[in-house]
Amino acid sequence: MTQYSAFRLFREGLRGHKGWGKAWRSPTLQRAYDVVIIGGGGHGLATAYYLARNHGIRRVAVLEKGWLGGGNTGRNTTAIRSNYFYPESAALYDLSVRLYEGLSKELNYNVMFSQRGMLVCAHSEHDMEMATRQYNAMRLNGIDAELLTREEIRKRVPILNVSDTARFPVHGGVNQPRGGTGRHDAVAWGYARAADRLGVDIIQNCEVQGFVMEAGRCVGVQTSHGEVRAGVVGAAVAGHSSVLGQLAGYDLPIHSYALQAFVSEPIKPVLDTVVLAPAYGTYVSQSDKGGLVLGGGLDRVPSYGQRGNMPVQEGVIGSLIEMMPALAKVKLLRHWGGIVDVTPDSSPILGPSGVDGIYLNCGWGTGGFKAIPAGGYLFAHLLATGQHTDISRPFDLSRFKTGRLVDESAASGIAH
Amino acid sequence: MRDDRNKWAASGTLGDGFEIGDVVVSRVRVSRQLLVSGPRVRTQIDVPTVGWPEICEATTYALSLRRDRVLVVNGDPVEDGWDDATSQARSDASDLYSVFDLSGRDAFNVVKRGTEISMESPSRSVLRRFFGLQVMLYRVQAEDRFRLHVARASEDALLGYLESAAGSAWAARSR
Amino acid sequence: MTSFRMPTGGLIDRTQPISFTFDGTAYQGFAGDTLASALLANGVRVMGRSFKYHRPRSVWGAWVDEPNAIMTVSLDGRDLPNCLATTTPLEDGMQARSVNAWPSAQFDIKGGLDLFHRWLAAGFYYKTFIWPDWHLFEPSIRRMAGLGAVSHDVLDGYMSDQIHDRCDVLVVGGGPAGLVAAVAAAQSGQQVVLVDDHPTLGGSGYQYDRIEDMDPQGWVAAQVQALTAAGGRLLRGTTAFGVYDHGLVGLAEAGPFGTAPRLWRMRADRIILASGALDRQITFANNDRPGVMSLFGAAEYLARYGVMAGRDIAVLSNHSFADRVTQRLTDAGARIVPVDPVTDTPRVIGVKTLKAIDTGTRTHPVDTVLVSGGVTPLVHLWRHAGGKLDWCDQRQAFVPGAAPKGMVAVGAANGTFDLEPALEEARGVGAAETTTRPSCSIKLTRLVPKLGTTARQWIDLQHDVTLKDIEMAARENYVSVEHLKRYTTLGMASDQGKTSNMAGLAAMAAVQDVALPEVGTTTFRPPFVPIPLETYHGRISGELRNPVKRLPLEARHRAADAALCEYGGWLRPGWYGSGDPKQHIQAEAKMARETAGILDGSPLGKIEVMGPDAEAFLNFVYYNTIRTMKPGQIRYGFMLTEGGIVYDDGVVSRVGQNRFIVSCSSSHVDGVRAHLEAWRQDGNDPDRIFVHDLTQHWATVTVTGPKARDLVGALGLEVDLSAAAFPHMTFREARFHGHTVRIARVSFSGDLCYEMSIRASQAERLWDAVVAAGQAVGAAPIGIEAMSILRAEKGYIIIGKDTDGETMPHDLGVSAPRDRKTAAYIGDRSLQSETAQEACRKTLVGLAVAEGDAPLVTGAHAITTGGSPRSVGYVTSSYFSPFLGHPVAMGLIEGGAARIGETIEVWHDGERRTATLCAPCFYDPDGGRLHAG
Repeated sequence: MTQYSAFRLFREGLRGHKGWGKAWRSPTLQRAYDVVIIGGGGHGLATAYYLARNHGIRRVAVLEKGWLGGGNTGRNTTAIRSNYFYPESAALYDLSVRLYEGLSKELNYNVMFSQRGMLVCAHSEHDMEMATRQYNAMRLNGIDAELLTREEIRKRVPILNVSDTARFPVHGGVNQPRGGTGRHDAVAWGYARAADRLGVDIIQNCEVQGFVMEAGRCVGVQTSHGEVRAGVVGAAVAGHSSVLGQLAGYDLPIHSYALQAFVSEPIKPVLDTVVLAPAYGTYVSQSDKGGLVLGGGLDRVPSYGQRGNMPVQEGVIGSLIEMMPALAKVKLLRHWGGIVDVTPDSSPILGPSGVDGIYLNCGWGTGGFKAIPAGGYLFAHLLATGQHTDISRPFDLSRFKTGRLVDESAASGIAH
Repeated sequence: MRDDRNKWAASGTLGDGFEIGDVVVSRVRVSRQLLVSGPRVRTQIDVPTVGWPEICEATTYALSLRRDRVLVVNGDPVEDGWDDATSQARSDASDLYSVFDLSGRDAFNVVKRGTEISMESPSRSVLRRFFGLQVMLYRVQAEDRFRLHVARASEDALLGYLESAAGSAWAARSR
Repeated sequence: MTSFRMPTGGLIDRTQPISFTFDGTAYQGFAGDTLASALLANGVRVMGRSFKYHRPRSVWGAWVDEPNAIMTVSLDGRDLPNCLATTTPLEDGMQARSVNAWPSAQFDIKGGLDLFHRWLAAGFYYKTFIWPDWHLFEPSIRRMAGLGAVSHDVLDGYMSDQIHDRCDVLVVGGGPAGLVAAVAAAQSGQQVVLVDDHPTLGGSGYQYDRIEDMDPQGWVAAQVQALTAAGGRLLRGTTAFGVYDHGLVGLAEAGPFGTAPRLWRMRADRIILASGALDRQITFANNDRPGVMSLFGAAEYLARYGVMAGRDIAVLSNHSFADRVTQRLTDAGARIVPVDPVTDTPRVIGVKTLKAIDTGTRTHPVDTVLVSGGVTPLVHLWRHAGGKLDWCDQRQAFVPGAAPKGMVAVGAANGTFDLEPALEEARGVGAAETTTRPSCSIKLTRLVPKLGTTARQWIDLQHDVTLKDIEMAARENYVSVEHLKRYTTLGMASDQGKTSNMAGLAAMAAVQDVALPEVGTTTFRPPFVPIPLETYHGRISGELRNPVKRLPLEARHRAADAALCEYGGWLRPGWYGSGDPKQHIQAEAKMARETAGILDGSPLGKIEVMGPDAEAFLNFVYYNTIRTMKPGQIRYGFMLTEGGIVYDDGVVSRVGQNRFIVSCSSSHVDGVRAHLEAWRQDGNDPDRIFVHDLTQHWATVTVTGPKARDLVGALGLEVDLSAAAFPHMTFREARFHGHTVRIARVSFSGDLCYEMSIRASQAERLWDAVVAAGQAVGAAPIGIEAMSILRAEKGYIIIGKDTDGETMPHDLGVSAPRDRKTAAYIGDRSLQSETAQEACRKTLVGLAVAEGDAPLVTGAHAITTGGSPRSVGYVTSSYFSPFLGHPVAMGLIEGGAARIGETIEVWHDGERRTATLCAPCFYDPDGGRLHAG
């Protein structure tokens, strides 16, 4: 694998770019691995990377039924933040932000993590009280936060209608300066390339169709390329977690919904931060290419269709126009959907599945992309040692029995 | 809290209706609206039941809402509460719903701006989501006369939507 | 007349000249022109610059497949960014400017970027900008990106009309096939709607001399006549941009320039896709130069607009359909040089002006190169609906395969490229006959891009993706179609790959040495063309967006100078009076404790639950025991979620054996109603329980304070208000001017309090009587803000403010049911979980501050003492109490209820204060005033 650098780019430019090696191999699936990871999205690939990097475990296969990064990792709105409420969540998501901060250098792949801030608006006095509570929680959890007034928001986001004429005027808000956006495909590709370089086999177009059980323990998987034995299996398949669970025989407290996302035609810069307006139910940022990227609430009918319908489109885009009326004449370029798994407390599931030999990384709902580095890091630890770290333990599946939920329904974004 | 008294037009600004282009919206005073629920309510009432798209011609009638619920319009006064003999729950809802008629050449074009509806798709219930508001929508007296019941607190919103849609329908005709 | 405009021919009106400018230069066109056709007629070639390298670009096609001619257009003071010149009808006075070029498309100062193309290849930004920090480079990249600039001005009147509609048959596309399909369907009795995105119907029909022995214009007119005579409807200038579940099609109907499209949400039983086909690009050296155009685009320019694309034209084509177009161009006076892209290795010569084409053996001086590498059916809507595609070797194209439910394709969209078979096929389909795809006469030689040339060959004209980029991507193993597309950004420009998709697939196939269909297909997503965001917004704006609910007494409140605020979806008096709110609120709260306050409580939920199982049902829904209530009694209770979390608090009144009234909090009425309806059907017999939400049938006037009894007594209601006859937490019925008044003695303020409910049409009468009676005892209306203070003084909670997503009833001090209620209730098991039993749970407490200190900040956190403080809870409500003369506050604090008397640290925004934990009730803890005898 060739090292990336400006110098290398300069040299290759002169040579017609013939010297770049493969970003990742297309290896043949072996018959056995120490770890098999089901799901070649950001979480699965990051897990493989950290298994090799942090734990020296390299006989790892990542099995992806389609093309790597083609699930939710390639469909999200690219927001990265750790402005959650509970200390457990703050630890989890901020671990991710910190890993993102060094990720391009670590992976030698520019993931374009742009820390342009993540602003959550408050639209009433009650909202401001909640924002204050949130702001203080963040600061006490050691997360960077700013409590902004309406005037400060007006200066930062001139295109936002903060005035009293807006349907939901802005009273103020909470900003996380270290939050922002990243290039989603680059995260998947960067982790894939780095994991591959360390010897991990990434097998695309390989669907897991069943589990191989011996004496009540999972010892491998059945795939469209044949049987593979595994020391331990990790499932990181996002919206298909329940489907896989049915195959393996474990239950998950998950509902899967379509989540739609939208991008406009590219325009010259009008917005340089990420803005979430909860009263309107929409959040928006502008990509480096110039397109406005927006998202909102779920299509409320459970579905694996990876597509949504017009009422939600009208709701989300209509809300954007209420927030930023000048954008009415900008055109929508494309919209798409992913499948998000919503848990009762809007927090993820990390840990044993209940079936011996199978571990879970799922239930991220609408917030999986920001957590890719942390999810991979913690899942690698689980698969390597069979143990939780302090950061992952609160998200174990058993919390639904003990009742120790981490209720982030407010901080997870738009109402679920 | 934010003082929004000037942000919202005073309730009742649109009064008892308006006329825009080929659309007339007018308030209807009904003498009584009675909500009746029960497992056999549809067989128990002795006035015509109204669904969609039939045209109601009676003055006293029952709007079909659910398998087990109707709204009797202009019926006799009846005591509120649970009636064991008939297994009916009854509630006076006369002040719960404001009632408006929508008529004119563009009336149905206004209706189609608020909800997905067609004469070819019958419905046993007259409940609809109309511009996001729950309403009862049915035809009265004429093919192009539509009657709407809306919860009283949303009356201003309904009139606002109708006004906007009537303007759109008129503009579409003039274009 | 310019040299590129034919003296006759086309659909334009040469008697109506139109003046316009492009990049500051004035030109003339005609009515019926588009911006692009008028510019072409005037010999303008360079109409834009490519996104990355800023290479000069001319127009490629004549319609929506155009990737290059993007302009900001102004007319009458209205600016629209990113208009496609090929689909923008020309209007007098239009001023067009190229985007992403300065000072003009012809002379762009960033044109020099192309010199660095070697280092700006696809994905270059993934390989660099890593050191020292991406943030250093990003701002410049952001400034360079984006097409048009968008002003912050709001376009006046730019609002979309939106409407629902339905039909039996929706025909998408008004070309020859679509027209005859629509006529056949309409004549067979179907309700038909035909949509076409051109202002004038006919599609590519004008490229033929005759259609069914008529001239095209006459033939089209005859179809339109037949269609309307059979009751069919036509929507011109309307794009079907997306197909959604259950046969819903999104249509955007264009209006005059500067107006937003009308949105039609069209539900169709059957969709006939007659959307035609696109020309296929050919990859060859310097194929991006101005003057290289789509052959069928040129045919359209001639047919519709009477414009010759050029005079000395090289035609590059590998198929037999090019002949017909070539003949028409020759008949119109062009000199044609045929070039075979299969056997020759073409290379364009010329930078801003096309000079010649080098075939590899010879050089021909030409001013235009027209290209057609095949015909590609437009199958976007087919794919939106989940239809499959089949690869056709003969056509070297993807054609519709297994159909989605309710959709059928005809004509060129179905791969039926010949005119007569297309008409026959379409008529059959229109009449709902089953048809098979007719054979096609096209003779096509498979064209494989030639790899490894020195000169660059373009795949995506807007995003500057070249064949070398594809080769590099393959080399790096980004070989699956989506990886290829995302890595190179091919097909992700504003033309959404209409010209680059097939070229990209062909290139990847060549690189990998496989057949094209093995490479795969990219996904097609709505919208088919970029659609203004306003189309999804509509006139539902401002007040009409999530409108607030209005009180029956609003007029009275306005007359009393009320500050109306949004609470829980209602517009309610926050306080009365203008100017600084604080003094009004404090005065109202004080008055309510000294004499009385009058509050409009109409939004209070009044949901009746009736039936023989009503009692058992409510006993199950509520945490508290309801079963034992007697008629006339009121009980305070919680509704829990299955997780044991407090969802709503409120009071229940028992009216009779089988009748209860649930008075849930005003902001939760819809939620509680839905909750009751859901549980009524789950594990219960719904025929024995009925839920009637009568909240808005009743207005409620609340009188609270020591003078409340005197005030109510003066209303002449004939009710014994004495404490013995009418104790707290009971209700009575009375008559007020012949109407029923339900008087509940229930208190949110902690003082003697009566809530009087009367039918809404009598609200004003009752209010007037109460206010008049109030004057006599020194009582007046009070708003929500004052009431918030009163209830806080008493330690009464507001759900969602003093409770959060973890709060269980015993955290609020209500533990009897958890300990003793044996009957099942929603949430019961969750209250016994491990977490529910922990000692350190956050519990509701009061917070007292030192004499003279300011109130605590709501949202401040209680913290552990010492080095790295950790949050142990927060302040949920905090006010200055005018009656008590000191601040009162409540909070949820870990183990708080067991720590009464302790002093804690309270942290807000880096500042620390101290507070003492106390019982949440600061006012009348013994309840003497509440039960006021």
